[in-house]
Amino acid sequence: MPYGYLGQNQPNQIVSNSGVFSITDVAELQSQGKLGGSLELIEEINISSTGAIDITNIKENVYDVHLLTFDDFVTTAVGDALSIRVSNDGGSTFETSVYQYGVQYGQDNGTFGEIRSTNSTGLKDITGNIQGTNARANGYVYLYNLGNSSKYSFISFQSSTTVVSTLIFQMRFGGGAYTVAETINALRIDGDSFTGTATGGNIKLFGVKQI
Amino acid sequence: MSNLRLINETTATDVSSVSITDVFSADFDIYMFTCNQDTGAGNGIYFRLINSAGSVILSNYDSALLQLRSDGTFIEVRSTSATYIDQLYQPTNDAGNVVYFFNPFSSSSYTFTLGQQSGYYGGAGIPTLIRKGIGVLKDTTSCTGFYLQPINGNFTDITVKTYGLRVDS
Repeated sequence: MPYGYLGQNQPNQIVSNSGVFSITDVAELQSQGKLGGSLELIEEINISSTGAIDITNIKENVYDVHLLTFDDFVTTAVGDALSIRVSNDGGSTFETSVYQYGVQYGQDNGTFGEIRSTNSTGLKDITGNIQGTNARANGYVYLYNLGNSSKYSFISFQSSTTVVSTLIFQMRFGGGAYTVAETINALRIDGDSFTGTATGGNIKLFGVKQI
Repeated sequence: MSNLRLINETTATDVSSVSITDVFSADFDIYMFTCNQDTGAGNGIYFRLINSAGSVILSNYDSALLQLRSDGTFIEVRSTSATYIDQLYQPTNDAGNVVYFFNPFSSSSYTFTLGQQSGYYGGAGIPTLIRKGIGVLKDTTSCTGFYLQPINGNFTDITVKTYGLRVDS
């Protein structure tokens, strides 16, 4: 029977499809990935105090691709850029080595450049350095393979930042890797000094739906 | 509900290519796919469109991208009138990709792509490699799917999820 035909014999019904889905309809459509949206919000954090942001329920066993968005992100430290560390123990500790990344940046004053590292203490420099009054960072990060114990974890990202008090704008895009094959089950978002300098902004973590 | 609609999920192991068929239609103008893949060898990927007859299109592709490395100078990569969109690469130790398609089903406009990839290349001494770039099929053929093939060897494992970006009228 076609979907949505529950209650088709209601009085005064012009067409026989009531538009009501039965439990069977819902179960079948869900199994096909055709019901509901495909970006599923896991956690939303509105930063209201200073400190590192830890997300310890990332549903890594459900999603093999995550999307993290941030807006109005700001730190207390001059020159800090939004950065990420990963955890393999639910957020009790966060890994401090064997990260690699590459970043391209460009500014509205004509300056372009490259940033890279093969042995970093975090996935750093995702945004421009947040400096000065009205400095803010906005952007997104895709994360891959976090829950797969036999694969490295990767990110790719793009961001837009006002970097100094004169409001120079900077775009960045790039990616990085945590080069240990293990299950990642928590994330830390902070400034690149990882001293707990995040102080404002909104962060959302989504799972990108799979069947 | 979000505006991404999952259309197809394809998972395979130890295959020489993957064809994602019957995913583009009049239902959406813009599509996105995510891809987690590994090959065990560093090289390129033949990334092509599939037309409504089910045939892989082998010509009229242009591409441009910036290739970022964790260990060395970034380079520009470009091609015109090529046999594939040069946007993705095959890694020795896994990679994640997100690619958008614009108007693939239209029979009156070119098909454009916009993509990013992060992975561990592993070949030629290159560690983590990131690509961000664009591509176009300079042909107004209506496409219904796409095709991925590592230049060297097989996909040891690959998962491709294709989404349509919903538009409410």
